[in-house]
Amino acid sequence: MGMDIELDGVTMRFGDFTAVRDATLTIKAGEFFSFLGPSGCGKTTILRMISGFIDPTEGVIRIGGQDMRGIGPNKRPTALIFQNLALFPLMKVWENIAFGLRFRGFSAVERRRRADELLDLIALQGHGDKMVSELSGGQRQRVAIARALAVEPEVLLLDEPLSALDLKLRQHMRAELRAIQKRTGVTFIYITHDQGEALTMSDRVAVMSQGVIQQIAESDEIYNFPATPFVATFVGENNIFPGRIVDIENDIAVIDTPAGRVRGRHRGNLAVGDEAIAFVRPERCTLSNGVAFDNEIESTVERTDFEGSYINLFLRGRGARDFIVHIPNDGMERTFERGASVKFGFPAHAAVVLPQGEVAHD
Amino acid sequence: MSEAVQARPPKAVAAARTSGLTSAQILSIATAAYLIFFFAYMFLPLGIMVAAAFNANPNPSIAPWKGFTLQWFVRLVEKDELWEALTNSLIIGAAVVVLSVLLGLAGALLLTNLHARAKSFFYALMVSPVLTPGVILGVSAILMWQEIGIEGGLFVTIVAQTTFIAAYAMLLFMARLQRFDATLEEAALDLGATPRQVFWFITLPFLRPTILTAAVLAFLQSFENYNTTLFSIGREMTLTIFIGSAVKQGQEPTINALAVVFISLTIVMAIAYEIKRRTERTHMEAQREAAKRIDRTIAGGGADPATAET
Amino acid sequence: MTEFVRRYGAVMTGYILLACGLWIFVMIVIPQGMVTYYTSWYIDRNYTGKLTRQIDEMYAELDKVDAAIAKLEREIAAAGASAKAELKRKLSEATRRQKEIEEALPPLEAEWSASRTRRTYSWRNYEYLITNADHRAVFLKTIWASVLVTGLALIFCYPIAYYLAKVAAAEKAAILMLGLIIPYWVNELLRVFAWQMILSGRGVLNLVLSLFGLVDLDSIDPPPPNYLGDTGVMLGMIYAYILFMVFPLYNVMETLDKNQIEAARDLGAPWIEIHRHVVIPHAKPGIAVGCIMTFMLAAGSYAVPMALSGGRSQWFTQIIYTWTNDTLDLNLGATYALVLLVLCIVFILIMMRLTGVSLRDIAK
Repeated sequence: MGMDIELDGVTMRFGDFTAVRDATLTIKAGEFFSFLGPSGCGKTTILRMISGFIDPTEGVIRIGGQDMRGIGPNKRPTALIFQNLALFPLMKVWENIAFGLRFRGFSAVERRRRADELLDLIALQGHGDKMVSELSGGQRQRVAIARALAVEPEVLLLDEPLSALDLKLRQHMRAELRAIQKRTGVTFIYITHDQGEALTMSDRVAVMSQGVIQQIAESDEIYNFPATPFVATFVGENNIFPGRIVDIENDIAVIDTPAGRVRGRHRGNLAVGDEAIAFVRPERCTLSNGVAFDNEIESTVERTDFEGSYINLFLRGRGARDFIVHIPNDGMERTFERGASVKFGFPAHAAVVLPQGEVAHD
Repeated sequence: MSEAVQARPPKAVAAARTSGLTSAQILSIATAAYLIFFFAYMFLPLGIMVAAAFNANPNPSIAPWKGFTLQWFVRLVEKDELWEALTNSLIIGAAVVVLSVLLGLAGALLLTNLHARAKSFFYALMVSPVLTPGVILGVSAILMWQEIGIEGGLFVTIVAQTTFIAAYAMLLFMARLQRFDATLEEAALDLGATPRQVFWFITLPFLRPTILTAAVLAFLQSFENYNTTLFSIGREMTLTIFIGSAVKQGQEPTINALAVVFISLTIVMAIAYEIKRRTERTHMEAQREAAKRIDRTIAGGGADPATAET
Repeated sequence: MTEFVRRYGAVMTGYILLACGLWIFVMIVIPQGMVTYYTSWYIDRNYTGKLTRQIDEMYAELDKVDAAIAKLEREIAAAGASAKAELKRKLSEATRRQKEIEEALPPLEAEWSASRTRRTYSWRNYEYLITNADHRAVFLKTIWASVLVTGLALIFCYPIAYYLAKVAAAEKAAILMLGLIIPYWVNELLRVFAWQMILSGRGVLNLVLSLFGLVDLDSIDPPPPNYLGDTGVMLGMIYAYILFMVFPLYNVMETLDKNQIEAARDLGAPWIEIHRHVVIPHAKPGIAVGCIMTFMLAAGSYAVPMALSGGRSQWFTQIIYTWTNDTLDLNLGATYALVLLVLCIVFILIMMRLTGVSLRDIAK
């Protein structure tokens, strides 16, 4: 079940604008793979190229080893779930689900039977004869999934299908999508700008920015060891220390920054003297309490925000850099005077040093 | 008066309120008077015309009242020209409906697939008959067909009317297509339909209600048309030409009897339409409410069978 | 093109192109071209008339010569030898003349029949309209009367459109809209006829006036006044075309966000300023459409003058009708029609310039 998908040097240009630049990657059969990035990063273009609505300007897309050039969307073993679902408003629910079977030589009776099976799968038994307009948002979502699964695709493409739902329903549908993927074994390619969705559901995630794939990795790797400054800043919060490399010791790089000297992991693509940035997550920082850290940064308190499970401490370091430290809510009473001096620290393996590059703006 | 209110400082708002109320009252009285005047203006002439249809006075008038009669209706249906005219109007109307829907649909499909300058050019060209006086459409049609030896009559009238009625139909189709969700076509393609199948299974069914609307509108436009028909009809007779000559001669109140029939039909159609609209709206509101409830249950948690299964 | 075939298939593509082609060429371009072509020539009926007279004279002379020849032949038979020579000379002269006429007639007759359809290209049609003071006056009257009707309709309709779109509660507005739609679908001729019944000598207006003793309905000399004529026609036009102003205005005003009005009112703007700065700028496309439709219908109306001019005033469309249907000078008819069309186009351009809307907004 499921087919692998290969993108080989795929580039898409619209006039002067390059939507996708030299994308090369392999999505394994049966994998739940996400493209994550802000709007306009090229992820939807990739999806439309895989489903066949547009052909890449350069490069090759292979599905199950077969070159897809010149094969239209109606001939590909893919099915797409649209952002707005694109259910046919003038057809009954079962006709929607069985629509694709019409073009695969199924008789009316078979189509109805197959639609009823799928209605069972999505827990909408008995709703087959309703019109789409009579269904709720969550139910429509499921009908869209059933309609795409009805044609037994090898690859299911999902274009931010949950964005129209409200928060609670969205979280519920995440679990449901993941369950359906496990049960059917179909390759899922999921497009989203919501990092929570991408990280929780996917086997692997590709983070994109301005048409370029920044990193392809499993969720924890993306979060813990981002490959580019963009990934480091787009996924989750990060403290930023721009500066210059002064030393490289095996897998640890030392960088001099206005806020102080920082030691952190690197990917071997740095040399002494390079402009670079160190990143460290707010939750990996601790206020110094006598214990010595690999990195210690002096700062003053700006303000605090109570977030429930933790406290957000906003700090100002030397060189007018702003930092955030998460202090776990362990029930202890703490007071932070504005302007008070504090020192925070973090171990070298909690920090990542990356070459200078584009960072995400929120 | 409102300027005075505006000039007052905020503290004086309470004081201003009393004078504001009276000005609001004046405004509402003025509005009511205007509405009454406007609708009286719209309906009184029609009322006079209807009343005169039942007056035994052989001049179309409400005074002097010479007693209630239905004789003008009898006289009307006895007129042979009326039935001939009606038949011609129905023939022309039917032909115009078919042609206008076909041409309007083709025009809308052409324009929605053209881009930028070509689109603007053809759009202007195809909409121009709507902005052209009917008299000119009639004259231009008769000149062209006469040049190739076809005299004025039903055929030339059908063509002349279609010229601008098709443009109305096209505008309806374009408005509908503008609301068409292009992703529906993509979804159908993605599910294996060929572009041609997409058109027949998705696009055309979406346009079906508009085909009906366009047909009704085209028929009414054709049936009521006078200015264009007058020039293109030659020696034939249509209902409007019949009415026109009766109005010109200002003869007996049979014309009023015809007006009563027209107005009654219009009122019945308008009311039927309004009832249909209201029931549809109530139905949709009920559906929306029900859907909201279902979503709350789904999001509500584990009781949902879809998750229980996994 | 290939995109079309791919999307709709060959048959549908064929239908679309054929239908649009027929519509554009057979119904729009060629007929309008034909109108323009007809304005460029005329048939010189004076020349045909001159030929007719010439031919008639020749036939008359031929009759005379025939009679003379018969008479001479009889005289020659009866005359003496001395007179015979002189008579024979006369006879040969007459015979020569007869032959001359008989030879001249066929080409002249051919020319006569050709001249009846010969197209002479000239500016005569336009010159005719420009030099004919009556027609010129009628044309100018058509312009100002249509502008006046349009302006009055706008002033009269603006409040009702605003009321229906923004003030009235939804249910009430729906019922009032029905009240507008019903007269809208009653035939134009019948609506105008209703006004004929009001404005004519024994009409409702005089009836009301007589109740106040202002008019004597039974007076025979002079008969009671009627109100047909220019004023009547304009009243009828306002009544007949007012709804073409209401609906476009209503449609645009309905799309205006009510909060904008409330915000303006909240900021203390007097209502006249609210309309000047909020409602009217928003309603511009509707105003443009309403004015264009009303002007076009008024300038091109045949039904209203026919019913309400009372034979006392002449309107441009009536002249066109006379040319095309009574006098059968299609060239003048075409010319007058083209002038009317140009007038409407100019008005559309002026409205577009004044309101700053494009053709695209207009046809919504």
